[in-house]
This record gives sequence, C-alpha cells and structure tokens, in this order.
Amino acid sequence: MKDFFMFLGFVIALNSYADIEYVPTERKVTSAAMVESNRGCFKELNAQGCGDPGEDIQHFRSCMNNAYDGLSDTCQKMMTKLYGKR
Amino acid sequence: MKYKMMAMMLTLSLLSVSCDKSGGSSSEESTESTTTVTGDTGPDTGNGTTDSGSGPGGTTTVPPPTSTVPQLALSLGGNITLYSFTTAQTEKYNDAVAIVKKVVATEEFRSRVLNYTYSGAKQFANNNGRTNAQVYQSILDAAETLKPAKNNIIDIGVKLYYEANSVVGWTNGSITYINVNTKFFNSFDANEVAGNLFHEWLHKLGYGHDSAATAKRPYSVPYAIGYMIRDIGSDFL
Ligand SMILES: [Zn+2]
Repeated sequence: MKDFFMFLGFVIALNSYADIEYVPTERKVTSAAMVESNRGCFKELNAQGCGDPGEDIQHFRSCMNNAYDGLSDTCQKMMTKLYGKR
Repeated sequence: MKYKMMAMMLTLSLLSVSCDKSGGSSSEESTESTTTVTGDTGPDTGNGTTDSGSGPGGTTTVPPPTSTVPQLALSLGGNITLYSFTTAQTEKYNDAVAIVKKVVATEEFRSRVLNYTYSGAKQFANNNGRTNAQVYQSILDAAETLKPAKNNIIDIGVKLYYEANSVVGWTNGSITYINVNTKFFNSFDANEVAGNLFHEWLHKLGYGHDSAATAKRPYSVPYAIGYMIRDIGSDFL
C-alpha cells in the first residue's frame, strides 16, 4: 500500500509540473471601423447617463433598457446580442 | 489487487499527462516590480442599485430585462499581479482585465457557455466531468487549484518573457502565475490578451487540454472559453 501512495505522489508531481501552453489559431483582428462603431454605441449610452458596463453593470443594464428604443439599429443589435432580448 | 489498482492509476495518469505538454523550464523567477491591477475586492454584492446619476429627465429606472445572469457573474473580481510590466504594458493588461469582467457579465457569455456543444452533445471537451452549467459555475466561483477558496476573484500573477516561437503563453499546475510571450502580447489587441488571460486562468481552475494540436483541442474548456472571451470581448475594445 505504501508503494502505491508513493506512486500516486509521483504521478501527481509529474502532472503538476507539466507545462500547458497556449498556441493560437489564426488571429481575429477587429477592424478599426467595427471598433469605432462599438465605441460609438457605448459613448451614446454613456451620454444618456448609463455609465460604462465596467463600472456599474446593474445601472448600465437598466439604463440601457430604457434607452434602447432610441438607439441605432446596429447599437440595438449589439445590445441584444450582449445582454439578451428585452 | 494492489497491482490491479496501480495499473489502473497508470492508465489514468498516462491519459492525463497526454493532455499537457511535459518538460520545460518552470522556475525562472524575477519578482522585481509588482503591480496589482484592478483593486476589486471580490463580490461587493452591490445589489442595492447604486443609482449613480440616473438618466436625464428623471426617468424612472426600469429593472433589467428578464436577465438570467447570476449576481456572481456581475461581481467577478480580479486580483492580478503584474511582474515587471512597463506602463504601456500595464495599461494594456488593465484593458484586458476590464474586458474579461465585462464579457463575463453578459448574457451572451452565459448563454454560449451553457449551450456549448462538442461531439453532438451539450458539453466541452476536457471538462473534468462537469456539465456546462457546472463549468460556468466554476468560473464564477473562481476557486483556483492552488488558491481553493470560492472567492469570485481571479487570483493570478502574470510574467512577461520573450521567446521567438509560436507559444503565446504557458503555465503549469505548480505555479500561481502565467507566463506571457511579449512576441504576441505586444501586438495583440486587448481582447486577444483577455482571451489568453482567461485561457491560462482556466488552467488554474484545473482544466486541461491536449498539448498536440488535435481536432479536439479547440473544444476544450480553456480553448473554447478563451475564444469566447476574445470574440465577445471585441465588442468592448
Ligand atoms: Zn493551455
């Protein structure tokens, strides 16, 4: 039984020292136009008092929900995609 | 009986070892300047709607839509220690951490994790025997193998290094930090850094993947969810 536990210890040690690498597939670069459009959407919501989703997400979501109808089509699409159907 | 059990263990161990890449240096220490990103102290269960400057015109605030995103997804914190980062590199990493938190707080992330399919079933590859819902919950719990408290905080260190190869970053089960190759880091967008951070952190939660570029590898928890963070994260650039 003792040698079994020694063996078990060896296996655990072997596993924990194995390196785990991250090799990417192709890069997925977001176009500058897309970034601009997305930022525009968050800027608009910010201007309406919604703040930033990184600050107070609860407030952002309820505020965005109120502002939703006044948003552009693309912005509405993005918000629905991210935060679900209203 | 003893030998039968050992044989079983050996088989199991060989299976799991084949998921990782063996060998390589794991102990290069350089703890010069340590900067802690995001001062979040975990689940500040701020459920009591801190109405910080509610919208113009005194509109009554409607509660969020029928959201199924749990509170823990909204409060995931980050205790991330950066070793020897320049100011610009720190800034980029801060952006990446912010993206991770914003993505985890989305309904899209929750839905993508819960509905993920691999091999015709709702599951991830290399899921440690967990259902998609359990994988999602383990992310929100944020209990790292080496820091097992369920504190809803991403506890991790990040060290930069340079090597002219195709490895973006690596870690192993005996260290609390991840190693990130500046060859990629410097040219990556913040959402790509976020994806890599999350991939490596999922290893800290105990999830592995094949070391060889098998057909199965992209469906493993670290790869599949790392890509989700990267892809959803592009909306927050
Ligand atoms: Zn990996």
